[in-house]
Formats: sequence, structure tokens, C-alpha cells
Amino acid sequence: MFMLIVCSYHLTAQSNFQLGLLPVVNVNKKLQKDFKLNFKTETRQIILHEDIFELKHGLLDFSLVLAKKIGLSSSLAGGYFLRFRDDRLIQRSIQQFSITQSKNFYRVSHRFTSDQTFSENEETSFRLRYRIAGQFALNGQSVNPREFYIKLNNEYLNEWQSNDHELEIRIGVFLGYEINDNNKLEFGLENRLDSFTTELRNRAWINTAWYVAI
Amino acid sequence: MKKLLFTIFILIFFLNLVNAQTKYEKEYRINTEEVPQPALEFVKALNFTKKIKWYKEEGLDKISIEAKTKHLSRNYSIEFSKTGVIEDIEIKINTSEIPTNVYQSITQLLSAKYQKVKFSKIQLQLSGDQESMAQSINNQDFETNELITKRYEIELKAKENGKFQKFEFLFDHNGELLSKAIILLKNSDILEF
Repeated sequence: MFMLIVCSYHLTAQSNFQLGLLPVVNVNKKLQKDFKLNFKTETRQIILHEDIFELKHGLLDFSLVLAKKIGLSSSLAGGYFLRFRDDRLIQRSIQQFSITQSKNFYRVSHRFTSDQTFSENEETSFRLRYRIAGQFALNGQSVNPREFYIKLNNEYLNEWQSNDHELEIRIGVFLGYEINDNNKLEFGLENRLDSFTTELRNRAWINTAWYVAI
Repeated sequence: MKKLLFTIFILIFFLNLVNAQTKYEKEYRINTEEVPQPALEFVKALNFTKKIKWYKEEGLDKISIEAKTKHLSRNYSIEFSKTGVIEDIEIKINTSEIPTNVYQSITQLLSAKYQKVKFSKIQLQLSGDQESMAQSINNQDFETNELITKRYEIELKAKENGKFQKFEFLFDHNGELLSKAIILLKNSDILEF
């Protein structure tokens, strides 16, 4: 983890590097007829910004998404997201299609998302996102209760606001532990790179996540 | 607000652990030293040339030992009891390797049951006495060897009772249905959300 942060720090100009904590709680509830409800909350705590070490509250997010299985491995979802940053409220509508495949010793998921972000005094922004995520068993051919796994994420986010276009790339490496099929804990680092055409910005988040199915 | 959220999450965490499923199944790699001698000897008698990977599978009421390898471009999985007595050999095959009349019988049964079916894995399951099985693997004559019992284990995806599910069907060598089981799918929330 330390090495990953050091590498990440040297990837961009130091003034464009930000490091923070990103605890996430992801609650899922299975409903009838292949419907599922996902509630997610995360908060960002900034540790290092513009070369200054200072623990600062960044924001607090909540999202609620309703998903429907449209095949054994694929699902369609839609939901709403609220972000509380300083005294501002940012809202977002989300549409998502995902497909998850199980291979011999890993599982891979492709997620296609579109979202629209609304906030006061700002033009609506539109994003198209694609994420590929893989879960790799560290023991045996599949992840079982009381076993560790590795999760890798790579996401590409295209954002359009007014006449501007911005690309963001996210790369995440996580160590996960399956307590049981309904409870998983993850710890890792996610790098978010953007501003490719001006001065590259790199935000690294030390991520801790708890996935729970109720 | 933060304290309230924190309390709710702690509560969900512990309640959820208490209600957690009691079903416990685990498969993990083991070293050759941990493999029972009869299982080692059986595999040694086969003319496999590729590396053998050994696994232990722990269920609620059963422990088994499994050897996996690739031989003549096919995936082999040999299952033993915990003491090393051979139970069956499974060979991954394609639909084209199932005899035409057997395949027709299987698809007829499935199409009467489901609107749309997608095969995800087909295995030829061999069982019989230890010596005959070793010989038929070495001679590659298990398709015609009458001392060997052949079954077809098919994993497939289909919609039943309005729900998309994965099933494991077992057919005999004539394509007659022997058993059907629902495969419990692993939760994929960590990849979707």
C-alpha cells in the first residue's frame, strides 16, 4: 500500500496530488422478481492537498439504486444520488447496465453507466462511464467464506458540461476478505486521474469498503 | 448525524453476522503431501504429463479430494473420497462430443421445460471400478468401454418461475434425466456497485 501511494505521488506534479480516505458502506437488499435495491454511502476525508498534510472533511454521498436482472448475468439499474459538499447539495440521476461473468478462477464485470448531475448555479453535466472490474480468488478456484481475494477496477469517465469535455480514469487495487457470502470487507487504493489536456491531476483514495447483503 | 449513521451500520453488521447463512462450502489448494496415498497412486497410474493440481473440498457433510489437470487438450477433474477412494472422473467436453441421439434427447427435454436455455459447462462423468477407469483413460476408449458408466453433467442457464437461474442437470448415457439441482450463484454486489 505504501509503495502504491509513493508511486502515485510521483506520477504527477506534487501540487496536483491529493491523498485521502474513502470509507464506503454498500448495502444490498434482494427483492422479489429479480429486483435488488442498492444503498451506498461514502465520505471523503482529505489527508494531503497541495503539499499540505491536514485532515479535512471533503464530502458525504448517498445513493439509492434499483436494479433488475434481465438475464442470468446482466442487470439494468436506475437510481438517485445526493452529495453534501460544504453547504451545497449536488444531485445526480443514474442509469446502469452491467454484465458479470464467472470464469475458472475469477469473475469479471463490465458496467456501463450514464448519469446527469444537477447543482445550483452550475450547468448540468452528463457523464458516460465504463468500468471493468475483476475479482480473483487467492485460494482455490472461487472465493469462499473466510478467504481473501484481490479486486481490480479500471473505469473511464467521460464528462460533458456546457461545451467542455473531460476524461477521468480510475484504477483501483483492493484486498478483500469474504466473511460470508453476504459480508465482504475491502481495503485498497484507488487512483483517479484527470485534466489530461492541461495539468494532470491525481487523486489517490485509501479505500475501505464494507459490502453487506441483508 | 455521523454518530447515528455509525450506530446504524454497526447494528446492521452484527445483526447480519448473526443471521448469516450456515451453509459452508470451501474448496482450496492442498500440497501433494496432504493427498491420501490411494489417490496419489491412482493418478500416478494415469499417463498424464501436465501438472496435477490438488484441491480439498469441504462441505457441511462431506469432504472430498480433487485432482485437476489438462490432458490431450481436455480438462480433467478426478474426485476422491477423503480417504482417497476414487468416486468419478469428469472430462470437460463440447456439445458436438455428445452422441447425436443422446444430444437430441437432452435438448428435447430441456426445450419442453424452458423457452431459452444456454449451456455453460458440459462434463462427461465416468465411474466404475478403479482399474477399468485407469485403463480407459490411458487407452482413451471411455466412449466405447462398456465397463465404464457414462453420464453427462450439464450446467445451464434458464428462466424458471420468472427467475433467471443456473442449474446442474445429470443425464445418463441415453440422455435420460437422472437429477437436477439449482446452483446457488455467488453474490456479485462487489463487482456491480
